Amino acid sequence: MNYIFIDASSTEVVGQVGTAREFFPFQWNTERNLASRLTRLCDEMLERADLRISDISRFGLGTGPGSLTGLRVAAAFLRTLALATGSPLTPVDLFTWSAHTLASSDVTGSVRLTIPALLNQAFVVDLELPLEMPFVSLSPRLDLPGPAADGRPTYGIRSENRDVARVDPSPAILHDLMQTAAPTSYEALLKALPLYVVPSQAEINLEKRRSRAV
Amino acid sequence: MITLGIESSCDDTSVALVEDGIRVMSSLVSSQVEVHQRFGGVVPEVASRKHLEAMLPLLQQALGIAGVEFDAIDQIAVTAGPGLLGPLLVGLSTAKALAWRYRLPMIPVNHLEAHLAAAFLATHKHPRFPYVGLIVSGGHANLVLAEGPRAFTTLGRTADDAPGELFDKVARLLGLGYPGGPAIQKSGLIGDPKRYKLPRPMLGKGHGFSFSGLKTAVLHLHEQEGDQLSVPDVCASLQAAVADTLVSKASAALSETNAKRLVMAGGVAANKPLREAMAAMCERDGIEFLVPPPALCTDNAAMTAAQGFFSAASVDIDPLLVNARADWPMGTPFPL
Repeated sequence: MNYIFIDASSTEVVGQVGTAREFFPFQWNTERNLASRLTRLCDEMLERADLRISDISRFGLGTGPGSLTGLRVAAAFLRTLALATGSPLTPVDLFTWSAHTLASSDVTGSVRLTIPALLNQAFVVDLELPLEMPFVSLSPRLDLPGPAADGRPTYGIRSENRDVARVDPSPAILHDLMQTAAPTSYEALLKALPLYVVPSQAEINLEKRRSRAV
Repeated sequence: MITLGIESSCDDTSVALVEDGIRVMSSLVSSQVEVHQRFGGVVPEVASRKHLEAMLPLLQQALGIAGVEFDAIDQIAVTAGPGLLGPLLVGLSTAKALAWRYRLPMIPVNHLEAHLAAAFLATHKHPRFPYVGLIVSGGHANLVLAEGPRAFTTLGRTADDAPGELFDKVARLLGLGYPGGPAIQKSGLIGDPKRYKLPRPMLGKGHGFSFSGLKTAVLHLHEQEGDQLSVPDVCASLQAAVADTLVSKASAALSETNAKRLVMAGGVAANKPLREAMAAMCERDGIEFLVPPPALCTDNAAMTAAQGFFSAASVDIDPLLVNARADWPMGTPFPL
């Protein structure tokens, strides 16, 4: 089973191509220009693994959270490839990926995972490690970026500060996740979307306008 | 040759399959009007999310209606601008996936050029040049001279509001709802177009337009007349003012360029009083008048596929490197 994975949740786009025997992680600074470079990045990955696109039987989508534009560009690209080729698409969010990475380092119990967001906020999820399932349903929220008030260990995904330890999602863990059986149905493909933090800014603004009107 | 068209420049997701640029095999549009009504206008972030959700089901349905599989597609035409950047990127990335996977030619299409192509698609004939093109929609008022599939000279454009935007704002003022164009046309059906004297902005002052003064004139009228204001008469008078202005400008452009053909397109080209006034001018002056049926005036991917087919030979770059561009002017190089 050969796969291509793309995580475009930040301008440092992460890619990975893998076969049953080996995997090759990539990272590029796309300078907010992912859409025009995406096929070239995929060509680069395939060439490194000595594969052709027709050899790919699974796609992996980094669902974030993070840069909405980047996430959508990658999602539109990979969802279409999965549909056209009848291949499964495995959605991998940064929290789940990072949680498995921590668990592989023998971290257990209650933890908080955070990702920096705009306006001195962070996307936050509280989890129990190890995860019971390879993929779990998550509802990240916006919160302050610092450590958890209840004292549980807090980890910043690809980020750190004085009070928050750093965790970098591991390519080896991603490789394991990509080997996990992914749902192949059309319905499952339609559900493979960026991990949005609800409500959106537009909805927040609308609610504020309504409140003012009342 | 089958061209897959993909359009996502604003709030309509659309996919179409068109044979030889002039025969529509399938054409589907997923409108987001109801989604954006609660916001009072199109929210780009919300529109982007909806495009992503709608694209694959539309693609599946369009292929099913046309009775073909992915491997039957010969080339892909996709809107690369102008429009909202987030929504454009969803369509562009979808097109690139297919073009890259199947090694298919991909033609980046200018949305305004595609609107003009809709008029030829409707007649099942390839474009004939030169012609004067008038694109009037919610975001645009452009008057151009067309001398080739991608050879456009802009003669004039609006300095402020587009006519569709004018209709939206006036409809909101009059409590007629969104989108404004159809609501104003419906109300104006029983109105007197000569009841209120509204300005015909910038007549005799070049090829440019300005519609914000008309909006202000209706606003003043609304304040002056109060409860006595006849909404149907305002709607009829406003449409007459817009039609007079556009007809006069188009007529002047035809005279100056010696073109014998006028193509009118865009969402506002569906407006019945405008269509009738423009047709009357063209008949009087011996001008061939092409305008798409109302269903092809609003955003759709069939026109994108048609323009892609007509302009395929002009692609002189690696289209997989093309980026979306919110302000891509007609007739200018592909955005990289």
